Amino acid sequence: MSEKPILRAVGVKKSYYAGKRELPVLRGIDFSMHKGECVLMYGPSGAGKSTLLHILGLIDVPTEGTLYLEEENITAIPANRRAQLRNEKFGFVFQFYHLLPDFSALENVMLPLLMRNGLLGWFRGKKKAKKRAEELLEIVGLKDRIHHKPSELSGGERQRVAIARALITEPQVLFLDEPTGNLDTKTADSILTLLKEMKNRFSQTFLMATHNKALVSFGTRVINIVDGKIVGEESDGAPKS
Amino acid sequence: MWRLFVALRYLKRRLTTYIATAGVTIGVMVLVIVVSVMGGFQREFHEKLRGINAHITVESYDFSIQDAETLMNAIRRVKGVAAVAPFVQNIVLVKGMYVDFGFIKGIEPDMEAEVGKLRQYLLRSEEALAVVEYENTRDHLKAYEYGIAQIKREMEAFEEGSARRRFAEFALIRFKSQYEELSRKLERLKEPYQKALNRAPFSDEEIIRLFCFRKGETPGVVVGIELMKHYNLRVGDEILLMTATRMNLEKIQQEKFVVLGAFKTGVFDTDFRYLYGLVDEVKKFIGVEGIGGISVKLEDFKDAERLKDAIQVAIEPFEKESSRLSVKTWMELNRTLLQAVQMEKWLLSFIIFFIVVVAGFGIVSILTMMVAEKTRDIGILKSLGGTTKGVMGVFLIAGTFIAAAGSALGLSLGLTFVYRINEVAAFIEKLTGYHPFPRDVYYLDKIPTEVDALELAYVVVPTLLLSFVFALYPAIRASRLHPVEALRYE
Repeated sequence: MSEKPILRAVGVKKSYYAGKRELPVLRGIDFSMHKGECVLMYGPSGAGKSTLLHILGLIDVPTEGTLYLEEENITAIPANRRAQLRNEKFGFVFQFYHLLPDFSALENVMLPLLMRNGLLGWFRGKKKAKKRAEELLEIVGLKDRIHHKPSELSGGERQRVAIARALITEPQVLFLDEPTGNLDTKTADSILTLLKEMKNRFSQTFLMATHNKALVSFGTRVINIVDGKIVGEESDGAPKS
Repeated sequence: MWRLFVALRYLKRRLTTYIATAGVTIGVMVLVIVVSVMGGFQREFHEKLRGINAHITVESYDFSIQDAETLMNAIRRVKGVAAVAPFVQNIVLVKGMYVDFGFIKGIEPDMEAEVGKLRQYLLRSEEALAVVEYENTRDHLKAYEYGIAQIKREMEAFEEGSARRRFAEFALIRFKSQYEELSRKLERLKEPYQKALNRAPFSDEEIIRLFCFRKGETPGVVVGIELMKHYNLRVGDEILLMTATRMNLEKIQQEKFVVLGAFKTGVFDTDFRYLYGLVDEVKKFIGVEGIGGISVKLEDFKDAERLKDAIQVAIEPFEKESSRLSVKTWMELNRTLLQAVQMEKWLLSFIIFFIVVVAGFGIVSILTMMVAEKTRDIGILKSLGGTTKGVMGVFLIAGTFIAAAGSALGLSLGLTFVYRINEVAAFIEKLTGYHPFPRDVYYLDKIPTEVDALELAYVVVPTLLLSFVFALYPAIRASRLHPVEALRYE
């Protein structure tokens, strides 16, 4: 792959502190991914997958190490710029859906786009966002439930809303943190089918963290994380040296 | 803009929102009512003071204005001056049934009527009688009311059937019958009294006749209604006045005056202490040659401060030949009184503003609750690209919105109440038989109100600012939440 990586991490470490005791979670991660890739982070729970996902997605900051977004150093950019990048370049799907309970499915999906609009052009922007959100909700198969609140939706439906919300900004990278971890097998399968469909439809770049072996087939590239370190990597099923 | 969208959703259909809003509403409503009613009283009070004092008074303290006519002409030429009138005023001792001090003011009645509100204040002799009789009966009735209550209280202590008890019972019966008789009398007197209060102003002819026509050579005075009541005077009675001047301290002047009539301004002190006479007679009585001062009426009393300087300039040539003249506006003459009223209003508003402060604490607590409840939402908003400022904005807007809604509601309720305050008072009277604003205590037919946009702004703007400041703390706390921690929060 000669193309420059979309996301690159060099020597990323992260520790938490319990009083004076240091609890290292990530012990030096070197990682990069390219546009169109579908990377799966596999490892047992507590290995640091989520933390790495949060750091790469600019939700959390590393204790040490450097991050590059399209080869631009973004390790120490100000908080407002980080927030802007989260909104414009990244999308997130979490294990517990993390929908806003006071808003309907439609409004939840619209929100990332609404955050971009100021006072001027609010109503025009809202109309546009609504149209796009309706399209996406139809794609994820929730056409009839767009006005329901999250509490009126099943787990699978909630996760579909979350996926639609993550996709509405047309993110460069979609981060998924155990997207099926809270669902029964059947629902999980349908969510995976949906994600595959999205992958093909939008040629979406994915980075998914999971401890579920069954999902390994989903990735074009799988990296193994154990105890805060990358211990192995395989591409399309074949181990990579 | 999305902050407003989210904030409004958080506020929607939540009991706590309504409670916090109600707090602000009550505070603002009460403030609006108090400020408006106090403003109304202040206006009435100012009007009364302006009725008693001329807008501007030019005064010489040693009665040295010899050529009053030229001086008055000079003042008349100042633009904005509507009318002028000469006067001579001095302190007197009034000797009748008691001894009290007062002020005698010698005037040219027809000119004075143009400067002040003398026309409205003067009473015809039958009107004066009606007022005196009614008010005396009313005071009597109050005394009986008090006496009956007193006897009833004391009776409890006496043994049943004892001589003292029987005596008290007998007294009570007698008191009650007298009370009822007085009540009937008061009822009878009510109509002429109302008529007297709503009397037509005196015409020029009536004024001249009142002051100038009399039997005999005795000088005459028009006295205030309170003095008349206190000294039990009737028109035609004589009173003894004594005076002395600064220029001639050893000599105490003493002269009998006949009561020509009465006036009622509604200000107790004026109605008790002021006696009006003809300028020439008063001059002779206090033993001076010149005039004491000139009362000036302006076209618009609000120009007083500005025109004072113009008048000062206009009268400068006259100051050289005599001693200095002082020029004072009606506000300067009553400075302490006006300041007291202003201070009262300010202080009351300040105290009541604490209701708003308490409402502000309500906002803090519901926002703090909201932040705790919405911790996960805050994490979600941040992961979707919400900035620190953005999250802070959500809660600031929520807090300010409560204050704004409360202010708007309080303002409209308060104003509705103010505009219908007399109907409310009438309703309360009907319900309890007791008027919350007794007419005879305040000398006013209606509860006065004054709605002033600036003063409403003084209520609303601090309320909004205060709520904003109070909302800052929970908002900052919310914005500082770490997204990872917030997302993990269950």
